Amino acid sequence: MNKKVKTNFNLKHWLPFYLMFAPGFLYLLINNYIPLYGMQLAFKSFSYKKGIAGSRWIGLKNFKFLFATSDAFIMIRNTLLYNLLWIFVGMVFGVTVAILFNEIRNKAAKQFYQTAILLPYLMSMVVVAYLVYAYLAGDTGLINNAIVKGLMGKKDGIKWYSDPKYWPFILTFVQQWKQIGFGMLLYLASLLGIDTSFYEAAMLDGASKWQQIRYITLPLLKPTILMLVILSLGQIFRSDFGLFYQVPMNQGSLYSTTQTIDTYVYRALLENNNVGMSAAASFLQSIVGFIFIMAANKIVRHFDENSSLF
Amino acid sequence: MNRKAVSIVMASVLAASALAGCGSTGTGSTAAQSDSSAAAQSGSAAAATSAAASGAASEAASGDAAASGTSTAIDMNEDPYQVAIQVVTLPGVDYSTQEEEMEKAIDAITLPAINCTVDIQFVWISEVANTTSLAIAGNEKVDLVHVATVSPLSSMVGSDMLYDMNTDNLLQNRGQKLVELFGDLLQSGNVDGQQLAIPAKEFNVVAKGIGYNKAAADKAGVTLPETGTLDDLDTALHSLKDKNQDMMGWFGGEGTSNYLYWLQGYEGFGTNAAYGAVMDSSKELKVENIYATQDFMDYANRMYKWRQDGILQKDSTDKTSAQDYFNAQQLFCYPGDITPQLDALYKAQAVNNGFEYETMQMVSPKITNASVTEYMWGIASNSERPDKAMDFLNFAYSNADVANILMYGLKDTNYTFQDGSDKIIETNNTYTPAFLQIGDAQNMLIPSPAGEDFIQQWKDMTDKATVSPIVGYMFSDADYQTESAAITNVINQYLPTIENGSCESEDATKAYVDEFVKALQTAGIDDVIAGNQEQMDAYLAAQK
Repeated sequence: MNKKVKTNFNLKHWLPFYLMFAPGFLYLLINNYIPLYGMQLAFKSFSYKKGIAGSRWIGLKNFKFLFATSDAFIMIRNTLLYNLLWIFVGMVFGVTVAILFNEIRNKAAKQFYQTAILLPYLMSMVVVAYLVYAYLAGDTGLINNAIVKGLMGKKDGIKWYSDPKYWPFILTFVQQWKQIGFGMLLYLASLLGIDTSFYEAAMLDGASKWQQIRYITLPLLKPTILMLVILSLGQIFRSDFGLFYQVPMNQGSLYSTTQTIDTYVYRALLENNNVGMSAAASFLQSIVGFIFIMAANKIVRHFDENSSLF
Repeated sequence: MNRKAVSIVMASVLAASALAGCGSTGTGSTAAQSDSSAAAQSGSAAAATSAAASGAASEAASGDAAASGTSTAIDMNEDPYQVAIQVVTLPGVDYSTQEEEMEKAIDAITLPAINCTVDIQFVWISEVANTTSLAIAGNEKVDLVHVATVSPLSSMVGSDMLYDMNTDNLLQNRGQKLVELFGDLLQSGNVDGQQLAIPAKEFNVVAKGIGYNKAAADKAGVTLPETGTLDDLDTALHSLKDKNQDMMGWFGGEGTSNYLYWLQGYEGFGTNAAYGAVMDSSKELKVENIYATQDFMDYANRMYKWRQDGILQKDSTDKTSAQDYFNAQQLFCYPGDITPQLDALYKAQAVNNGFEYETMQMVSPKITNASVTEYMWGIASNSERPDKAMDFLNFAYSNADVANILMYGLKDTNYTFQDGSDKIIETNNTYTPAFLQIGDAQNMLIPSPAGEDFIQQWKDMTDKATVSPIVGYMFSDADYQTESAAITNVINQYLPTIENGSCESEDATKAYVDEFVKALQTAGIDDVIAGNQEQMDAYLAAQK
């Protein structure tokens, strides 16, 4: 009798939590777990007639095209290096901008800046691509006409869209410009959660602004920074398709610095309509992402157990 | 109550997984289903032959001695089956408002004749490949599918997307008009002994060359011969450049398609001859890498010179199509196919835009595998009733009324007859299914400005044409998927720069082409070409 009362009590306590958890769980289950069934496609020669289960197993043949050519090195190098660079740069800029934001006291100004910096994030990549084009176009671009020809006095403009060497910088610039508003939001949210009494105590002790940042803000931000870095490491084999495909205007001559695994797969399979090979590419991306997340988490846990994800 | 909550959660999880699982299990079971229904069909249809059959059915049965398999008779007593047919249009157009009316008009003819109704599925050309594969993978209703143009037959073979029309002699027994009309050309839809598609066009002869703005040529005092060479074009473009500074002479566009195809007239395999090409099938049946030939090197150099001379002006970031520039009278000419049908179409367009269209033929009329396989019909492998799909297709090629509705829309709504003619129509441009080819052109309507001699023009051109010895040969790339992906990528990387002549100098152009060829070889083009040659030799040996 006593026991039964106890269970009832527990349920009343937990039921709302279960209900809150249910939509998210269902979403994850339907969108992320059930499709795992399709991963077998990476090892099959897919037949529309026979379906996923009935198709013939062909081992690792689907993966061959990803490594068969000299392009393989270029696209994997590009994907990894851009991602590593952007994880690092994104973190530094994100934290810096978040701290700067936190110091703005004027409410109207804060709102204005926040809107302005978040706006690019809401733009479609196609729009971004044409904005970039307006700056970089050969004959009509702003940079060629105003800066290269105007200020630097050169006769010919720079052919931005046929010289791959400029693109690591251009892509990094565009990516940061677009993402920073969103990247900084999470840091800003954790900053707002820091108890102001720390700063008051520090000020009483005569700490400078820099010392407050160095000894209070950054240590308290560390868990957030680590969590976001670990999560982004899971995406290390993926790339923003729009950024790498639309912004360089799909120019063949730029492939050496703009080709990533996603664009390669898209370009290669656009003609072939091969389900197995597409599945193999995304299988590989998932597996590598999984390994990176696990490894990064393990390393973090080794140094500081509380900051790790799991 | 705790258990109840848990069970509710569990139940909803189960329900969700059952729902999500539908797609995959469904595909598996339908294969079995359609097999058994096919068996049931032939049984019931055989029974129907002895029973009283309708006019159309008995007509069909009285034909040639039927091969075994599917019955030649149409069962008129069963519930009518609805045949879904893809009609491919330009991106952005929407004909949904008149779809129902068109379907009704067709049903009124087909229901009494072949006991089926129609479901027209309008698809944009840019989406047809995806739409088809998704529909078949998701087992959505689709019967007659548009093959080729953007989704070549060879790419649909490996994945079993198309139904083999030789199954139970379906094509021979129920597609008699098609067999009669296309004859040997049916070979081009035959891959590894399976009849996966049939040609859609009755006349498959194509000449190649350029279409140009006659008004601009006259104004600048430039004359182009009716049949000319690349050098004639070169001369004309240079003198045009001297006289008319505003108009672009040539436009490389995004440079993703190899224009040499229209200027030189090789027979290519795969997109942009990714699987090699036969340079001149009347001389030597040898598959070559087009990009390693002297012709291509010369072409690359010519493009470089044209750019230096200001004939090619825009850079490869320009996504405007050549047709758009041409229609806006900002571009003098562009390369393409030349046929009586296209002539009529482009002349009408030019008149609408206030100029005159003329062509210069650079490659003489030929019937090649490419021209036959450009438009084809296939039956989706998940079609519930391949026999009814075949009935409909066969009927569309026998009955001009059905084909006319699909091709030209509805009388008075979309077109009117020219005064005193029951054959020539004036369309009002409200219905143009740009990528649809269906019906026996000899009995169908003719849109102006083509006249009564339209069919005669086709016939004359066909008489003049050479038929390629490899017209029925289709390269199967099933064993070369890896190479194919790599080659496509290399072509996309190098071709745009060459098409737009954007290298720094003549030497740089040469070095760039050499680098291009080397990259193609690394990607495995030589293996693919060797495989292609082997398959072709086997085909030729079998033809003898």
